[in-house]
Amino acid sequence: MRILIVEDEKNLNRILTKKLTQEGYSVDSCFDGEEGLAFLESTEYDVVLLDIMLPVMDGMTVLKTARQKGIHCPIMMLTAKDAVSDKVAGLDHGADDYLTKPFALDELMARIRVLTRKSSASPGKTSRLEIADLEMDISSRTVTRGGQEISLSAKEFSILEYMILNRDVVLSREKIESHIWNYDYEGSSNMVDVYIRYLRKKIDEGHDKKLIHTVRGVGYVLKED
Amino acid sequence: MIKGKENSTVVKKSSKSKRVRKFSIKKRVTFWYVAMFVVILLLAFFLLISYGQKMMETNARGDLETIVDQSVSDVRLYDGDLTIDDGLEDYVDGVNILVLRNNGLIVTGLYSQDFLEDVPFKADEVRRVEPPEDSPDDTPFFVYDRKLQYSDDPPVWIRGVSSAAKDDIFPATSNVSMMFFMALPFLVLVAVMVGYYITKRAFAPINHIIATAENIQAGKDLSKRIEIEGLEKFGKDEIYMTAKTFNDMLDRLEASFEMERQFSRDASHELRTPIAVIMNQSQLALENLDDREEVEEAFRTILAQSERMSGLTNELLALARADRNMLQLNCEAMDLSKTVDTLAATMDITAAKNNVKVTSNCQESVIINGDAALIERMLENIISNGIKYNKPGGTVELRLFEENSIPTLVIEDTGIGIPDHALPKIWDRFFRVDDVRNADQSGSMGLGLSMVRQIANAHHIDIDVESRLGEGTSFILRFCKDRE
Repeated sequence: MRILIVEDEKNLNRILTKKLTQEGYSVDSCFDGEEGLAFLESTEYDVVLLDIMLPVMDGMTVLKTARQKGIHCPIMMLTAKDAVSDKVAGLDHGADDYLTKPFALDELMARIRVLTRKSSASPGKTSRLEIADLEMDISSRTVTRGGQEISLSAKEFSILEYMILNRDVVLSREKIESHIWNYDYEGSSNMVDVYIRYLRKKIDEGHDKKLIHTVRGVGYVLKED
Repeated sequence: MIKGKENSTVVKKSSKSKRVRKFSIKKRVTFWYVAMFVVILLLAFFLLISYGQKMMETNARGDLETIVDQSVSDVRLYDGDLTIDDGLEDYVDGVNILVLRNNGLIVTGLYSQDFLEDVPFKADEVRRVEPPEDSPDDTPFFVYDRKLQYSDDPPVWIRGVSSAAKDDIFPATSNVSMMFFMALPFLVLVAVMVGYYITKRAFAPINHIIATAENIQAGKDLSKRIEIEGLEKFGKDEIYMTAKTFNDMLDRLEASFEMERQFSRDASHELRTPIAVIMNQSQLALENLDDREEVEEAFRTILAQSERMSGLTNELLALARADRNMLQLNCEAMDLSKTVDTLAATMDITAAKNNVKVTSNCQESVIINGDAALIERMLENIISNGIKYNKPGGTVELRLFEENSIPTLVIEDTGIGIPDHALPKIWDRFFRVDDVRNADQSGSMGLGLSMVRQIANAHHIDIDVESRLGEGTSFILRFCKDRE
């Protein structure tokens, strides 16, 4: 899952980026509103963390402009402003959630998970996602199939998470790539293929029911047959 | 009646104020007013009566004199012959006229009381005579005698006698008194009612004031005011002025409370960010205790943020103290030139990090009276702003000179300047031109200039600010020549 952090406090920005990366997310970060809007316009993010007090262009303006331009990704406002009027303004202008500083990192993570599962093609109600006998717990980062736990690397987990949230939807390589890797990535373009192969090995091998399917010329899809 | 929230509360009358209202000002004023009224009324009555009496007595005496004098022309004494006109009457207008021989023998006329026979003659003087104790009647009389004399012959007396009794002089007195004392209670009642009504109307706004004040106390709602529009038509009297002054005071109170609230909102907002950083940083580090580098970085960040918060709280405390005018000034004569030169040199070193130069050009030995530490602090804040908001390769120049014997210090920077609309606000707490409250870039918390203003005010220093956007800003400080 790909996340954009727009926060001008350098320390906080660094900390959040680190934490999110550790949690397996792919993170882009910037320090002012103008840059943030530019990022938003060029990439489809799964979650955006947007501070309100930003230089150049403030968070509210970024939010309003993005929504006007038809950018629908989930946006969570982060700010030290806790007045009810600020919260109401933020939510009414199109934010999906609002967290006031200081907050616990764990809470931030949980809320991000809510946003990602809400916006998925098959919105679930908890962090536990299932397809056939495959079970995924996003918050504890565990995957089991047929009761057997499967060990996945961070990127593998991310890809599987993205695919299970978009189950039955055919995802192109570009789409998968843009949702899993951030701008820093300069790897080869068949990275996706490589990882899909890894995943297949770990998840589908040894099972009669295959979950990961290739759609020629289009991409990949996770679905029950 | 009372402006304020739509859902205004019922005015709660505390028992204390109810007790107080027993001795209400309306009752006091009415009581005293009515008492004075009764006293004056009684006084007037008695004065009237006694004056009336006096006047009437004088009239009675005068009438007696007149009538007797008139009668004198009807009596002639010549060469032993006494001639009395027919026209002489025995009784005219309440006056008995008698003509008597010198030995008391009555020629004409009649006494109404026996004792009058014994009243000795006295010419040309109206006398008042009381009957002796054994007399059957106690009526007093006026007696007026005129003497007629022909050469050495024994004189003849013409005597007028009229009653001096009150009832005869002014018969209406007792009636008048009775009427007065019967009417008095009613008059008093009317006075009380009218008086009470008038004072009640006049003092009604006071109740509003009391009620408003109680409401504010109870509900902590400082937005309520007393309605004074209705009072204006009665003239801008003391009650109106009280209400208006009360409202003005509430305005000031509300404004100052709002400032306090705003200040603590700003302060806690400023503190939230470093707290958030420390919190999140610690959370992250705890999850990565194996990563030595991460842990070290975490502590560095936490330390830096703690120092930032410490600096902020110190600034806030200093400002709060200055607010309450608790800025302790240790004034002494100080060499401003030396201070400026030293400060400029010191700050030049730190300014080098920003690629900015700080220079000073001072007239020698400019002495002023002030608190050296605070003056230095003030200058430091201004210079530090000049460095922060400067361009790489820019300068901050300090020039000290005496203009018309007023020590003047100009601090000019080649920085980014301040836009016109922001100029009046630069002294506000937490204000920064781009209004982004994150301090970590420049380390500023927006309180520096507030402190400058406080220190300048305490020292009676005039500060002017001139700025050209994109080119630079100048602070011009004019020090007061003589401080009391």
